[in-house]
Amino acid sequence: MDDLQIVKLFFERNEQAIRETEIKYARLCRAIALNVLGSAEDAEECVNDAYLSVWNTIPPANPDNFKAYVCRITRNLALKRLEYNSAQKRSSAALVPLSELEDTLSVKTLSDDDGRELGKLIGSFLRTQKADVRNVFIRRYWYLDPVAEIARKYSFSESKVKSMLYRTRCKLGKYLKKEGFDI
Amino acid sequence: MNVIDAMDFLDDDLICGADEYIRHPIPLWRYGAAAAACICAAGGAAVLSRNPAPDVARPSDSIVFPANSMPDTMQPSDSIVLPASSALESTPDGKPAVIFNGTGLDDVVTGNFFCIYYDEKISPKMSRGEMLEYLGIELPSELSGCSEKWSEVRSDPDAPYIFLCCVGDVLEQYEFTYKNAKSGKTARISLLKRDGSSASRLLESLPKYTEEVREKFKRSQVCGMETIATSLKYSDDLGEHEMLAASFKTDTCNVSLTCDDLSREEFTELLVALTAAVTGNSPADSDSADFIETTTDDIIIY
Repeated sequence: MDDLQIVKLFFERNEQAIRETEIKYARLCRAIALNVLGSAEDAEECVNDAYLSVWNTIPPANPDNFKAYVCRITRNLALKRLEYNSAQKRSSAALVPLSELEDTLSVKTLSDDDGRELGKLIGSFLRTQKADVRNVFIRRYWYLDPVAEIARKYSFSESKVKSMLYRTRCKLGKYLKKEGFDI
Repeated sequence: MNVIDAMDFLDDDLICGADEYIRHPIPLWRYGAAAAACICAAGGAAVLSRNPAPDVARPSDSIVFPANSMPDTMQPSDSIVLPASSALESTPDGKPAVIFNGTGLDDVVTGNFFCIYYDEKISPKMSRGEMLEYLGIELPSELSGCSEKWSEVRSDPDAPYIFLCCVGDVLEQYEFTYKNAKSGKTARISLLKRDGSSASRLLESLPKYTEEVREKFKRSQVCGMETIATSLKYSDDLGEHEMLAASFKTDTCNVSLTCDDLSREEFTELLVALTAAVTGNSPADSDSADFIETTTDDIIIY
């Protein structure tokens, strides 16, 4: 079923919408949640919460891009859960990409507005990069994929992926400074 | 909010783009096509011939399989089919040595020396994972045709060479990764089935600059064969790179060799050895001293 039809089911308050979402995006959502949380059990709960959140927000929300919408909700819920888990001293592999980014960009805690601006600037920067570079970066820092998984997916060596990420982070840092972002 | 949280504000198309993006690593030097492969077992020589595959291979053997034995198409998800006449032996050190007769080659690993032939007509079917489990070879969990993954298969670190075969993710391509056990450096050997339609499809799949670059390849005699090679310097965000590529063609096969890790000397050495093995000609017939020349700058390979 295409995304427009699924969204239509949500608007009709038809529970088939959740089933169709699960059929189409469960695997992707589960992967995102698992990347963040590192626990299959936590990931499963997170994905279920995401379906519920989608159910509760559509309508009134009417996303142009349903896939991104579902993924975004899953990721946000997973990150919130990660925050909780971290407070409970439960570690996750997702902390590694987080520290990678923060080591290079040295961004302090951001307000919502600053965070939004930073996200938009990162997006603008990534649009200037080649597809390989851009997608490797997004896979690592949006999907929080392990380096090995990115290497496998794109047929790069792990060292090449690490090198690409490092260089991209450095270039991004310069770009953000040039754009007047305080890092 | 931290940086990872801020990434949430990336536009939808960037997020979905990264999920849907498929990178096809298409080596530049893929044209013409033929079925052929040559494999060096430890201390052995690479041989290519029209002879049928042997029933049983031993570590000292060269592996030979017919140029016309490749299946028309094969995908990483394909199953391996075991023929009834499969032979199983052990190497002197107890490693499995297996050759399955069939109409083509799916996966080959030497060093420990086993070969798996592909035959879509004979059952029972086994997945690649099942096959390797059957052979007692421990593999990484994901067998996606990625040569780097396959390189982990090797369990004999002292083998001088290892050739790994994985089914390419495009068309009728077979890729072998050559790995020098001492230096750890690798090269890829791409073997393509001779088929007019597939060759034209491959050509279509090449980047548009291919024709332009191809004219600048240098032709030389290597082991009595006209061989074409080039060195492409290109740059990307990660800096300057050099890719070496060469190809030669016999009446039964085209062999193309690409690498981006080997030095020019190592590359030439490998190419001469490969050509000598395939043709049976003497390396002395090579004028390889100045074989590779830099011809083109600023080429984006992929």
